[in-house]
Amino acid sequence: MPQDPVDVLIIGAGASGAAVAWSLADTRMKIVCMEQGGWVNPADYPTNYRDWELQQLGKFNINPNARDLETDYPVNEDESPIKIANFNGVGGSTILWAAHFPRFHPSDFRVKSLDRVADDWPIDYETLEPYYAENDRMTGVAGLEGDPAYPPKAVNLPPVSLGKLGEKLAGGFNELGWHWWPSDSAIATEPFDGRDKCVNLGPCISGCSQGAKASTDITYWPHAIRNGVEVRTRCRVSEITVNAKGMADGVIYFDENGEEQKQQAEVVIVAGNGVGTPRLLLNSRSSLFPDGLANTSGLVGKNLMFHPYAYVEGLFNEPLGGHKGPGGCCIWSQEFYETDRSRGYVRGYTMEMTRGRGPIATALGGVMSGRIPWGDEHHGTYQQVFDKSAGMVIICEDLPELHNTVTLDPVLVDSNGIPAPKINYTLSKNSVKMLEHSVARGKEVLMAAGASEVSSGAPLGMAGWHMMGTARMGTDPGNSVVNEWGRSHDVKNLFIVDGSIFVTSAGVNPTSTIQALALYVADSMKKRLANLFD
Amino acid sequence: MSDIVSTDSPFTQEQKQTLAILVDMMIPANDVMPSAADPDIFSVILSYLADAAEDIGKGIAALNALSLERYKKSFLTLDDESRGAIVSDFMAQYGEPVMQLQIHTVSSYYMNDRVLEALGLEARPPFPGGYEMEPSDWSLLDPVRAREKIYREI
Ligand SMILES: Cc1cc2nc3c(=O)[nH]c(=O)nc-3n(C[C@H](O)[C@H](O)[C@H](O)COP(=O)(O)OP(=O)(O)OC[C@H]3O[C@@H](n4cnc5c(N)ncnc54)[C@H](O)[C@@H]3O)c2cc1C
Ligand code: SF4
Repeated sequence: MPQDPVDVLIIGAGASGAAVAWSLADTRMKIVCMEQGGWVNPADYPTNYRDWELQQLGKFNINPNARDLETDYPVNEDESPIKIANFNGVGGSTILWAAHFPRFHPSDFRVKSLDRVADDWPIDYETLEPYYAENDRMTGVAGLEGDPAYPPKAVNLPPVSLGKLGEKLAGGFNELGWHWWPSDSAIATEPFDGRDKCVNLGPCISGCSQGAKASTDITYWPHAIRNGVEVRTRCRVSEITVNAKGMADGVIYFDENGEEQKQQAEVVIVAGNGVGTPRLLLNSRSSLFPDGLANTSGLVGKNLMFHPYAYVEGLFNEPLGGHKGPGGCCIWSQEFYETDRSRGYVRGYTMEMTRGRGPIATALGGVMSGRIPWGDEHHGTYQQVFDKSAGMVIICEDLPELHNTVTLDPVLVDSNGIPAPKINYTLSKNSVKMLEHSVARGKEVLMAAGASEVSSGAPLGMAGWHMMGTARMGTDPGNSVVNEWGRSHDVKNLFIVDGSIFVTSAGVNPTSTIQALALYVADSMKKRLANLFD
Repeated sequence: MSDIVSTDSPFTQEQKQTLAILVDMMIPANDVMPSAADPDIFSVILSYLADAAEDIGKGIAALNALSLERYKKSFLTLDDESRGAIVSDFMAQYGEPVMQLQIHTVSSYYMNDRVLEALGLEARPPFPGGYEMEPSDWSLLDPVRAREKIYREI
């Protein structure tokens, strides 16, 4: 039976869906958000249990194919060296995120003008600045003011602790005279907006039992719901439908029981992330839009950007207390962020220090790599390694390329029979050179910090957690999917607010920018309510 | 199947003996640390391996076949030296069962109370206790604070 029509239908309750819902709530329109997953119970997170390191590999696994829950959709990632990491549920991938919260740099919006690659964004840092600030206030960002890598910006919580590990690595950066700074972290280091403060559990990327990490189920959503937004869980949208005039008029979705349902809406906002969104648009074919909805430009699903990651790890001769503290957030360095053509590539990267591994991960990693032997030598070698390793992941800017795509797999379907996405992705020469440069610098700084052994790997295979560019924004309808405030060029009541609309990826984690954009799109809509579809 | 000891264990007595020898060879006891074949730890290993019992059974059969082929004796009757030689070949050759054995031996061992305490860790889940961290020395940032801005002005 069709439900009552709604004013605004948001698809996806993750980072961007939550932000846009909260912002639009003050219009008092009837807003419904459909989310294929459910609410997550923090009591289920692995850190509640003794076997937390094993549980991380189960239902909170970062890879949807490994997790394989009914609420997940499979992804064919065979043709990509970088595999998808996400979560499907209220909070979206922020349930599992590490909570690094960097902003883009002003130069990131001007890569064509500055470096003659890709395209400039149709908006700039200044346009987004107030939304970055608003998003910070809603999220609670731990950090320190005065970072010379950024224009001045306020922070609202004390920085995450350095710990012995952070101090050791900071010493290495100081030795070389390189930039470092405590990571901007979406973590409540003091009680914030009803959330308890971080108690340094460690493995934030399997969910924060303490509720200190800013996943949107506990940041934006309670506020949005209090302001009247309805979240409908276990609703998987299979298609956005259009009327004879080519306007979106609602969606078809599958409910928890696998029954097909319809929902009419005046405005549809897609927030399904850089893979989920193009998948849905490509699945929404009609006689008016035979190549998928909003795809006159042919760019839906094209220009997929991940951030190619490297890791570099060093072994020290003293305990570093690495199991304490937010696992992903410690200090970072943007010494090599801005373009320097003498390095053999354009654009740049951020080095993000990670804390140590748990006892099981240390043993498994050591045994699998051959570093820790079985037998009589096992204990001695384990003691040399455990709590003595420290390192970093390095996040490199990816540039848009047409051949990196999200398409529909001809065979693979989800549990409702909806065609699943297929990823085709190769690393560019620029990325390969940047990764090489970053690994060499990573080793240099770990040695300067006192490491006796260093190891590295690139690209990091499990690191497809940032999905961007697959429905890019721009002013030219022939060369972009949405306009400069997130509205589809083709369908005037269809908006996109997730990382799909990124023009370029920058060399930082994207979520602060994704959410700032979602707030900016919402504000742009509110300012134009009288003539939103003109 | 008279040699199955407990009704809810999928492993035969002989399979259990073989597994106990294997895990002890992987992680033997020393002055401080227990062996992975310590009953408390071994029972956990067996419970985790139960899901992979079929693979493990095949692996043990292969190990015995290797032993019979090379020494004309079953694995359980070999001396330590012969076992050592055969186990390293077995580990190198049999992907899936060996992988399962390694993962579950390591996991069960490194979440055991005695093992964690011997490593200087508290034997508990991270939540709700969490961990105290020492105060940070922010004077380390002085040289960075002293730098000019390093971002590109547009
Ligand atoms: C392990 C991990 C670590 C990360 N660490 C960081 C970090 O430190 N910093 C950072 O900035 N970012 C990080 N990220 C990435 C960050 O989580 C994402 O950038 C962010 O969540 C993206 O927001 P989104 O709204 O675009 O998508 P998501 O948050 O992924 O939300 C999309 C939602 O849409 C739903 N959906 C999709 N399609 C449909 C459909 N057809 N019907 C109904 N619902 C649908 C999904 O179920 C999902 O809940 C990390 C991610 C992971 C997995
Ligand atoms: S370290 Fe802090 S933010 Fe991370 S999971 Fe633990 S309490 Fe949560």
